[in-house]
Amino acid sequence: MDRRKLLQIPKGTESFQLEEAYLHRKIENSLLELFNLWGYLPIETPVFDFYDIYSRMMNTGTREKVYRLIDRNGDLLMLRSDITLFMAKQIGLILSDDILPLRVCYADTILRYQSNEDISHNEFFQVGAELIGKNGIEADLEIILLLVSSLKLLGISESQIHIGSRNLFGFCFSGFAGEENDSVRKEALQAIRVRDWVELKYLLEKYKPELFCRNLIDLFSFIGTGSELQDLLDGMNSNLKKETKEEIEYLIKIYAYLEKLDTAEQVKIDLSEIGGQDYYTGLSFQVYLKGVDTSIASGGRYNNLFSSFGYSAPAAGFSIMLRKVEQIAETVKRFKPAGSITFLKDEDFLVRCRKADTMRASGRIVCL
Amino acid sequence: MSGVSEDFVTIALPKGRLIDSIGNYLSLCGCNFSFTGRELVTIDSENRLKFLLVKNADLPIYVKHGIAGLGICGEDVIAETGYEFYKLFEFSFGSTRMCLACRKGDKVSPDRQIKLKVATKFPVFAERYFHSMGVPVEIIKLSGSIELAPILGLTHYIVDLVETGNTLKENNLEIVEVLSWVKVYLISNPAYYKLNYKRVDDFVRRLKEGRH
Repeated sequence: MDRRKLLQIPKGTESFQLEEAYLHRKIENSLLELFNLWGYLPIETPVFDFYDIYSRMMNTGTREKVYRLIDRNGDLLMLRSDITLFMAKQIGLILSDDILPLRVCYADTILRYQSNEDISHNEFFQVGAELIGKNGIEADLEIILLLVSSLKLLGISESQIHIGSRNLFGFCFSGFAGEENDSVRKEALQAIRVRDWVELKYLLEKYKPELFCRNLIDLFSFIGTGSELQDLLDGMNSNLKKETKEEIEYLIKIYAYLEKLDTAEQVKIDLSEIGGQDYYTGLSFQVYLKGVDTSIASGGRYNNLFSSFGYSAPAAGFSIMLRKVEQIAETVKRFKPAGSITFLKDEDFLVRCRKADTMRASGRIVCL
Repeated sequence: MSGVSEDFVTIALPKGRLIDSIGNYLSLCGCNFSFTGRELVTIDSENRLKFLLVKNADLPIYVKHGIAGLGICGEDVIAETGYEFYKLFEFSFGSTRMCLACRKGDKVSPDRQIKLKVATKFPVFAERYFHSMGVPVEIIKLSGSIELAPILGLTHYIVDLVETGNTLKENNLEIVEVLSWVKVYLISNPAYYKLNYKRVDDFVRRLKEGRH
């Protein structure tokens, strides 16, 4: 066979070697060690599972990118395209009240279709942590703080975490609930995600004119600090539903905690962050970094996912798209091999072995 | 996104039919710039904005990869790439129609059981349109002089942008249906916007002021 054909790799896969792979492993191990220090223990998920279990939990865009296959018994399977989903099922198998709250972490590949252009997304490897069985502000803060520590470890503290809430969408657009409004609700979600306020106004005016008020556009377009959001809230208090107001106040409270912990500079409240996956139910966030053209990490709260697997437990977590940050200069500087390789020249093999042992004991990299 | 300057808001502009209108509009908003000779990169008179002049069809690629944080282009070009951008501002000029056209009097009746052939520069748009209508169709991508396709018998129909309709008339073609209005937008790379929202919002505010 033609050598070029032999070496071709299918779309959606990648391989990396030597120094690049060294860097990758080193970063992965360092993050997992950090997670361990916070009490998170590793979980390994299967590479494939039954498709039907997950299909209704994925949005259309994600479903289209999943690789499906048929096993020998004729069952439809899917390759792991989202670790959180696969993790939820694995954990669901062992969940019981006495092991909660449970802290798990993972570092693994995901496999999903990506076009040639999309390959720059580099979403093949996710490292993440999930806090299961704990609800409320302290649990949400723990996840944000662990994410902040992870970014610091990677040497990218100048990255920006944009936090929002999926609940806010649910509360403000409760008029779009029900199957008959499904497509309009999806269009409204998408309009907010891509900050298309003209489209959002159009949808509201056309389908739910009673819902429309300038406040909604002002709210979902907001990006800023806790005090700036408080100012916006003060200006529109009378027009907001109670639960909407409480959700906004919740985000302001999170921000206030982060201010007290000197981490607020890295965080913005961004109410257009309503979560990329349909399973999010509360806090949701993405991380952006100068020099990278898409978000480098994302996460949030997903309180209903475990009930799909027969056990009800609130949960929150995040994933870092590791391949996106591995090439950042500061990260490379931090994790590259310490020192160069010494090649011993002595003729006698035993001499070389003994010499190498001594040198390695002092941390040098030595080749026989 | 290594190409993005820290100091400038970088904006990609399309070569071709829109460039003069864009220049005039931005000038009304107090953003003055010009490309001299064969220059492809220029800075505005206030030294705040950097403009890149790129081929229309390539513009979304520069914005997608963050070489330019912002770009001005038609919806037609955005749709063909399939990329997701923030549409931050809709310009009042440059909107045009994406039309289905054929030779005069040669409209194929829907009950004829033949597969339609359509020539276009916009295969993604055309495929999406016919797919949504449930019409089986063979799409042939051409890069120019689309009007020739029905005249020479390559396809029954064409899907193309129509401004005045004069080119169609001159080639004995007629509009069967307006499929969509194509508007011109200021687009942004989402990650760029999130990291630079204050500066970008300032720029959008200036654009809005120019509308009045």
